[in-house]
Amino acid sequence: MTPLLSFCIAIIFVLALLSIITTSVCEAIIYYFRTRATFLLKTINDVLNDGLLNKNYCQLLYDHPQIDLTRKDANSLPAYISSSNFTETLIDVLCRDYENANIKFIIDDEGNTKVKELPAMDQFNTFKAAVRSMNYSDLQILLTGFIKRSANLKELQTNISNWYNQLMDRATGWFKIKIQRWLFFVSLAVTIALNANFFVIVENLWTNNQLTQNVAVMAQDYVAQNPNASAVTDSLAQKTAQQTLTILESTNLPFGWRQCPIKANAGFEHTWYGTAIGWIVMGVLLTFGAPFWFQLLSKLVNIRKAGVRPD
Amino acid sequence: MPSYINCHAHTFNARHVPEYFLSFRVSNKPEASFLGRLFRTPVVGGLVLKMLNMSANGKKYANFLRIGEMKTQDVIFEDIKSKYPAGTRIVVLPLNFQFMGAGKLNIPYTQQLAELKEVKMKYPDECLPFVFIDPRMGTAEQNMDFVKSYIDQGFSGIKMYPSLGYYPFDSRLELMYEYAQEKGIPILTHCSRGGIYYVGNDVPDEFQNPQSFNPPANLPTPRFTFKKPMEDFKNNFIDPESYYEVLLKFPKLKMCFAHFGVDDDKPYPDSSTTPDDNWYEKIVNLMDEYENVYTDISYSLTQDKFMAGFVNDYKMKFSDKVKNKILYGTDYFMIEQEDHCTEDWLFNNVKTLLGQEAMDKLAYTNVEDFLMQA
Repeated sequence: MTPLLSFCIAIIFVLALLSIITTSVCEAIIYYFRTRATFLLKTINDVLNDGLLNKNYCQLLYDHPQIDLTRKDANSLPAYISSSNFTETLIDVLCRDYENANIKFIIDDEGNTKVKELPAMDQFNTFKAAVRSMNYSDLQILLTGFIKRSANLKELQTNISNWYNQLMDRATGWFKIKIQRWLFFVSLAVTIALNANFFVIVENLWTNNQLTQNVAVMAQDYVAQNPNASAVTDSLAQKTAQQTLTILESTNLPFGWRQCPIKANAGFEHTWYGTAIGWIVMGVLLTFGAPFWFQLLSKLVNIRKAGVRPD
Repeated sequence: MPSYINCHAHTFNARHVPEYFLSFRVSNKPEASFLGRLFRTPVVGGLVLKMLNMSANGKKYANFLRIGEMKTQDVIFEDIKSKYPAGTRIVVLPLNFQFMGAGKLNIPYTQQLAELKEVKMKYPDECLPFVFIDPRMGTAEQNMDFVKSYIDQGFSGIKMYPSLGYYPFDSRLELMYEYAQEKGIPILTHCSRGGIYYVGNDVPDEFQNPQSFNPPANLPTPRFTFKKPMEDFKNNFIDPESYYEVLLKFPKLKMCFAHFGVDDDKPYPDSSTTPDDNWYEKIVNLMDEYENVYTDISYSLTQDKFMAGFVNDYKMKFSDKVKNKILYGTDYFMIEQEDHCTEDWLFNNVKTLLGQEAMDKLAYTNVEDFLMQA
């Protein structure tokens, strides 16, 4: 194996490990502040909050027992709503709203209050009547479109489900973009917390051949044992971060404030400005994300092993 | 004796108020918005509540906020219902905050009413919802139609809150009064210097030159001269004197002046109270003059000074005519801000001070008369 290849594998392995820690921290923040659930609420609210002309159907949807009971507790929000759940609830919300508006309370001869309801209609026709009774709005146009393309309740459900799935696909993309903006700051925070100066690590790996070889071997073993290491889930974020940190420590690379203090009269990479630039470079590189670094690492490890045997 | 009635309670919550709702408590809108967001932030909001709970003074605000942050109106209704014996009826008063100048609503007022209707579906005999009206919601015809549509659905009365920025004699309320008088529909209006009020940056011309449906002769121009702060100017909207214009035209109107015209700053008129400032006395005079003018002791009943003066007047001064038109109500959940003022403590306190017979009148006979429609 060429020293240059080992050097590349070692440096990318370090970047991949730090990326996992960054992603884990990011996932923990998302989980703690319920960012995913709040984003879902905002996305649905943008479509269903018709409060100026009609009602805030988003609020009604979230208050409906079918969604409400999926909350973990009173203060949490669902982080995921399936298309079937969304569709059934939305149809029911509009039907109930229409039916409730037509309910009257009557006091009988004995002084008891009785509820007088509309004659029962099937859900498809109730939904049509509900949408017709709405004031003209973007949401009303959207719902009217679903009705026009549907001959019965099943088709209506399919149309709404398909539209919701498309909306969620886009929302997933919007969420990734939103998180990407956070990732740089989280990367920088992790870099500073670990004092992971890019220049110091590169210098150590470049000058210490034995260290580079050891780290490259560790990388090869790690890729073999953890083919899905870059997939961090929010609930396992803390555990993943701790395990990765342990591996990072075992590389014997210069991390941390004790091992790698800032020195005024040392080389560029050890000065305060060199350290600051080293952190920023590391922070920028980590924003590429764990999947990117792991794919690159896998490719390099395969080259080192002279390629993967074809199936 | 059938079950009692609490004639004054609220079940709206933080979701029904506009973004800058807290503007009447803090000096500026960004601060109000920030505080509102702070309480709604998952972790921070919980911490603030925990910190408030650490002090005796903070505890009462924490409880007030706890109820205000309850998710839906039925949960809040169940909270007050649990504090009374089964079968107790509760008048629920919604509010439309759309025109108070504190930003837009996240949930439209009609949705608040739809939620309230759901509460009534769950508790048809115990929940007695009123419909709130603000003349700025539409024309005289639209306002009358709006109120009528809800009364036809089974709502029990009409709620007004002029401090939010309108006069009770507004010409856009005339048809509604006509309808209410004809059908004997009760109207309950806020009448206390305390509480929320208009916080908008602009002062509409109608604040100074309102369109009355029954204006007195020789009015000056402007009729009301605006002077800051709004906290003082808003008293023009709610002064019981303003209601003469309404009652002269609709003398049979069933009108209840909430809180007996007092507030926690001045819980009972004393030697420093001028006749013009003495809303308590003005309400008693209106009750003497008009057969269907009522008052309730909600919120005021939390003040020891009020209770001392009121109990004395009830026993020594008030005529039977007045006594027959005083209603029991608590102003749940606003009273949670007052020390030791739980629903059962307040109820027992009034009963102890006035006696069982008077309590039966206040909390049953009088309220039944008030709520009875033609």
